[in-house]
Amino acid sequence: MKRRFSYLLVMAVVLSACQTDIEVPVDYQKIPEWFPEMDIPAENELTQARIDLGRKLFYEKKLSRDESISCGSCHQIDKAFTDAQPIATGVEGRLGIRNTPTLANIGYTERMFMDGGVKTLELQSQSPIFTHEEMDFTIAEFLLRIAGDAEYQRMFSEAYSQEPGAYGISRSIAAFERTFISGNSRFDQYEYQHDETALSAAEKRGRDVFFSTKTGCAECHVPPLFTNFEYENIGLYEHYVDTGRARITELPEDVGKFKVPNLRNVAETAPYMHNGSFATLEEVVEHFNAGGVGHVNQNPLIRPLGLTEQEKADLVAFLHSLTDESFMNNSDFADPN
Amino acid sequence: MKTKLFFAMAIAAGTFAFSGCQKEGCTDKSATNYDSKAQKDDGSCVYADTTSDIMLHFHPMLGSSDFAYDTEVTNWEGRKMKFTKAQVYLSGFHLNNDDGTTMLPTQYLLTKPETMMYDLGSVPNTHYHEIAFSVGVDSVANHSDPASWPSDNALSSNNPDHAFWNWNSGYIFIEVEGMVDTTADMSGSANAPFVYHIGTDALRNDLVFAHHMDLDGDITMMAMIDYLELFNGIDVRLNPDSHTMNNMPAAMALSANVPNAVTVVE
Repeated sequence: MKRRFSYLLVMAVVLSACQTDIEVPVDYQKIPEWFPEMDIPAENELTQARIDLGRKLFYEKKLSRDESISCGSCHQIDKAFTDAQPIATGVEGRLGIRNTPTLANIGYTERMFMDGGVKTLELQSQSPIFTHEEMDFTIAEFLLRIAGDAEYQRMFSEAYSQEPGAYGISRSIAAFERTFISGNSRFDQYEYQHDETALSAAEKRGRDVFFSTKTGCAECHVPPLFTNFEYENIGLYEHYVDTGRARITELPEDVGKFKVPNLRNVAETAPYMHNGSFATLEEVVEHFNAGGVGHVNQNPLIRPLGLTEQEKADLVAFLHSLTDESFMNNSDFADPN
Repeated sequence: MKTKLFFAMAIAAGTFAFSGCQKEGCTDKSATNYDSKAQKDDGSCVYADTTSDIMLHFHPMLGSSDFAYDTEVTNWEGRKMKFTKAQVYLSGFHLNNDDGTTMLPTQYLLTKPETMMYDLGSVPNTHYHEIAFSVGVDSVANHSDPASWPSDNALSSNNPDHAFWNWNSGYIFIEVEGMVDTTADMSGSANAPFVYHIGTDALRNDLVFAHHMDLDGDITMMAMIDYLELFNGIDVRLNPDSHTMNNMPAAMALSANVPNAVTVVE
């Protein structure tokens, strides 16, 4: 008996030892099962150290020339990482050229910016630092500012086995941003978790309008990410001051085309359009209902829809159901400083 | 006992005498200290360098004068301009001869008027008859991530002067800023800003210069850039601003002036 007991004890020790050897990948992102897999660059696999460093840098005001703003100044978590301004404001109140986009599910985006000019999140994360109308600073000067900072030294070392530098800055911010997963709206609960009570009657009617061929909304705003990552002209203007995609490609057929925005949390990301020209969702719906101004590059799906007042109201109600409260209140995304 | 000692001394003396009559020195004819009288090589041979270091003296000009910041000069149409920023990426340095092409170890430079001397690294000693380089950055590097380059590379975003367009991945090959007289009759002074940021693969200039040299020691090659010549034919009053994509005609005009603005002194 005694012998058997000790045998069992040994077995228990062996078993528990084995268990600690099994590598269970840590789920940093909590991606819903109805979402696609996210491509993550092999050189920038997610680790807690990288996410922590990226989070600290995301809220680091020393990255701006006058230490007045951080990434988090325009990408505010309680507004689904937008700023409620028509056009983003940088140091010294300088106006940029476009509306601040949401960062919800940004890790799925294939090319960055509304014109797709930048290929990767790693490249994008350096952009606001250098841009005159944003942080107007340089990485070289930022590195001087944090030269004696032991915590940064430790964090860069743990995250990338490197001294602080552009590589770790760009990679870690991208890593942090890839954790911005929003997939727990009432729409998700209704659509994918089969909770019939999650949507109100108006929202359900609005859902039908959204997915109908009459409107064709879902042709471009494809669930579950509510974008197809294409560039489209929706007939906002006859003459576009900001030529959008054509700014990158120089192609006349790309004038006035902007990346189809993801609609997750759209009720919280006003104002709308590349230049923030629509203040409310009602105005946006009205634009699509009217069918655009008929720009030569306008997508044929943009045509007069003839929606009733009820359908328009229902559509707006449905868009509200894409709000993900747990996303905007996720303390993992908040300022750690 | 005595006999043994004698023999030992005799052998020692003999050894000394024998080695003494074989002169030691460098016996390799290709060495610079070859000793024709040496019979035994003592490992002292010294060889001439088979490679030489090439420095580039990249001299900034404004027309016929040396470049100076904040100094009014008169452009092609008689309009006053002055410069507050002037920097240019050079890349792809190589030397050509009949046997082919030799890449220089330094491939990327970010040149500014403050610095005139740049180390291009060492190449084999031989005859060369051309030097070639680009004003701009080759397309592979131009679409790379500036955070991925080593910190001491001109393309690294750790570099304080690094010039990269963040809205459309690519380096700003030529970055020139300053002030210009905007009066129609060109009677005023240079007091309105102008900004030219020129890039994109299409506007890179790949330049080749005849440059004959028999390399047998470190040298300094001299090249010049005339920042005023870059604006030849451009109406800066009507085109005070080109970030390339927003004013492609002005960007193309400036890029087209590069072959005249950059020269290598033979």
